[in-house]
Amino acid sequence: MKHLLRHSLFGLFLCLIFGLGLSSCSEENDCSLTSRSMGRFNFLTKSTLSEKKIDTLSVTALNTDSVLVNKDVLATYESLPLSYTSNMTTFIFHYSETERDTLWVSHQNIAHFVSMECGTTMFHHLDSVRCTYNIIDSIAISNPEIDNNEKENIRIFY
Amino acid sequence: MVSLSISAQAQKKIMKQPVKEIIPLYNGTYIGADLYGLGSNLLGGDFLSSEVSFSVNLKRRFFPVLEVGYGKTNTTNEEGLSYKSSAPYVRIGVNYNTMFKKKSDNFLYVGARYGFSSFKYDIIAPSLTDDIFSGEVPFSYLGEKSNASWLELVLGVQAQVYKSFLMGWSLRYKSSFSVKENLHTTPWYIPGFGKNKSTSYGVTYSIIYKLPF
Repeated sequence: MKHLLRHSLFGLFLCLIFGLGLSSCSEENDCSLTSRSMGRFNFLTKSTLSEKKIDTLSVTALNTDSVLVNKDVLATYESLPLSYTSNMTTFIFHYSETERDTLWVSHQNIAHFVSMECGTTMFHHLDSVRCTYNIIDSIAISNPEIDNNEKENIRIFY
Repeated sequence: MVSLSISAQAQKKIMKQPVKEIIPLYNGTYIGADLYGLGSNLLGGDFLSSEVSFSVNLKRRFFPVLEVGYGKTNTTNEEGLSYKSSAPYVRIGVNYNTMFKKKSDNFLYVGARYGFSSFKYDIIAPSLTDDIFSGEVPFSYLGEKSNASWLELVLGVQAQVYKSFLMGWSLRYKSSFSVKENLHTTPWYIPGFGKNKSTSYGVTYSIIYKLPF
């Protein structure tokens, strides 16, 4: 009986210590993956394939009053949100009062559960992209998956 | 006289040689039930698991082990996100008793397991709200299928407490081997493993019965 008591108490003590350790460890959660995922548009000079710095750039989009980018100076890339509910997001790049290009990005929206601690988020898969060619020379998808690992998704050549 | 003394010395030598114990291959079968999985849930944990283990004592050193259990969770967080799953799991492996020289039912062992579970889960979450383009996307995925496998390293103790009854605890380091993900969801809970992470820790606290044959 002594043996039983000693063994039970020792085991219980270890379990409690270990259990407490486990629960405190499990509280640490990195929820950065559930911030809004953005498509990254990199700007390149077509002739040299080097980074292109755009003097001033503002970006708006159809179906929203929000100005997504307001007069960014010497930008070499922009991270832009895509619509959750539509399969087409239309951006307007404003270079000046009169110079602009329109971009049509066709995409699938993939709602995604990350964890109980971090919740849900929206990822996207790019299907196609086209644009007007007022200032832009050409455009291409370099990585169709838009998630929270920030990486280049679209290349715009000037 | 001389010959007598020589023969006595030879006899002494023979007497001093230790008798080598012949340990039979089969030394009993043990059935155990884990209490920790039930207890941690009663104390407020998200997961409930119940588990039965079968092991065979071979040469007092090797204990092939089969653990069969059932894991369950039904959790809703403050944001109204709910996750529900319940499924069986199985682990197979072996323990090595470091106290094999002692002829008793007290063991200090190290071991390894391979675990597997095939399961379904339901996730219902508040709609995803698009605060830039406006609109909402409902989030409800029921009956998502997945499976997972993992490896465990085990350190444990078993001690006889009354006749054929033993108690034992074990600490386990678990390493995920594979988890099937789905397009919209990743399993959050894996029965028998715990939270879906690359590594995890576990505890068992068991009552064990040694079969009388």
